[in-house]
Amino acid sequence: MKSQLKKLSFKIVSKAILNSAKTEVNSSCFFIGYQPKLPDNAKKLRKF
Amino acid sequence: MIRWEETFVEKLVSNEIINEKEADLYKFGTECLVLKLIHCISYLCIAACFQMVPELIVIGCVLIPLRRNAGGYHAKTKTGCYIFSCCYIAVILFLSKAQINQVLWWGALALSDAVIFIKSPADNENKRLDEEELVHYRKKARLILFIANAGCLVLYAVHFYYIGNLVRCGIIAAAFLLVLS
Repeated sequence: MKSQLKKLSFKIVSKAILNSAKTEVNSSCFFIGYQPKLPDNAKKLRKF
Repeated sequence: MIRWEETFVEKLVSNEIINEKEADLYKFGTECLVLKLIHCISYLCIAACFQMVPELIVIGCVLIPLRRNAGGYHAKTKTGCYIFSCCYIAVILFLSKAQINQVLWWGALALSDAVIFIKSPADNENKRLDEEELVHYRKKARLILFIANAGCLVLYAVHFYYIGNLVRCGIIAAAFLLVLS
């Protein structure tokens, strides 16, 4: 039960992380904040 | 320095949530998510200190989409960026409250429109834009600029001067970041 809950929370967090990466790849600039370096495989998340 | 995002992503890999090939992408996503959270909470705290949270939300609704597509100044370090952004938000909130001649505000808006229209999008060394991206973001930035200007004029026409002024502030703030780049 505990490990299932742990896995579920990891899955939810990983979805949020992926969405965050997608948002960054699909915008020219990071909000008002430090722009982290884009990894090489990030372009596959581009929507256009 | 301990790379906390690496440790976290390693946990995701070891729990078989993601595969190892995607690790870099998730490290990047984790860093972005945490940075965004820290910045947003800090901005809200600054606005709360000024008792201007609704004003920050209105300015943010214009500034963030414009900034995300038009680009602009980036500090070289995370700390530098954090200090700069917090100061910038405080200055914007202060100026939005200040009694400044309306002719100056409208003049600054016209100048800002020109800057965003001509200079956007601006890339930075951590994110270089290719030709396709330049065309895409330029188009989006100009569309958002048009909508924001139209919104500002409509708000003034229906006598919502205070909100109209905040929209104007958002556009001017985005343009100034572009000038600094």
